[in-house]
Amino acid sequence: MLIFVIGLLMGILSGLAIGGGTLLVPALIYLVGTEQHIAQGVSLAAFIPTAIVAVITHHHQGNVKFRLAGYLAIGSIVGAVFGSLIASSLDAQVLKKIFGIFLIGMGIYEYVGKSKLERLKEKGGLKEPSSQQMGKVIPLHKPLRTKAKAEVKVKKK
Amino acid sequence: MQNMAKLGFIGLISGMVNGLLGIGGGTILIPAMIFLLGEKQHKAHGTSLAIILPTALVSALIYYFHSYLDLNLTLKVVSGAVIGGYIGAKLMSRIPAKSLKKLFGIFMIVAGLRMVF
Repeated sequence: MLIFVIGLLMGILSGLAIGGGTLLVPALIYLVGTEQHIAQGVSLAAFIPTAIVAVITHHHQGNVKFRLAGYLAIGSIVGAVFGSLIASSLDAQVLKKIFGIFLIGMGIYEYVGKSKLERLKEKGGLKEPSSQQMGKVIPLHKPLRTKAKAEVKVKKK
Repeated sequence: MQNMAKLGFIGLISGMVNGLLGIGGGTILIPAMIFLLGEKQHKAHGTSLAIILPTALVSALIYYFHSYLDLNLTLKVVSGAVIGGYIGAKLMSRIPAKSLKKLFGIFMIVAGLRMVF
């Protein structure tokens, strides 16, 4: 029941677009007593069914760029193989410390992320930073965007 | 060529984090796509999910072969997460995400400190 409630809370957070999955690992470790590697495995596997549904939903809204996703996924899958093998070879206590450091960094980013965007706005790089969480469009610096797009197009050939 | 290297590098880093720490990687992919590739927020979000899906699958398989995957525990978490995800999406427009973000930022820092020390 406790595990179901943890899943429920993480689901709500993810649905709100707040890093819910990131809190799943420490929640399992400290509330359920799960081992570090097992907690990370659960976090990975639990993501899969959720992501399938989410990809379909976002695709229907026209928000999935499959070609770009494909290019990024090549590097990402290679990285995942290395990352998983490193994790498997590490002692749970060491892995927990690495996770902790990353979590602190993430926490700081979650906490101050907004003001960072606002600083960019002042520089003229971004407009409407407050709309980010509402899933609205952030109009980016136009020349930058066009350039990046053009580069991707060149690469496709 | 430079752009291809950029794509490969972003992918590699987020994949490494995914496999090493068992977390999505969207926290790296989404800002990277917005700031380095100039994608829009909602496109970056949708696309990141399409990247993390096969990545998490590969990571989960490797965890499975090293006996680090508890399917029973996963099933319990998923059943809660599916319902929670639905509630969360419904609540999205009614909840002040900004203050919640700050609150959970503090949670993460506290949990992180406890894990390190």
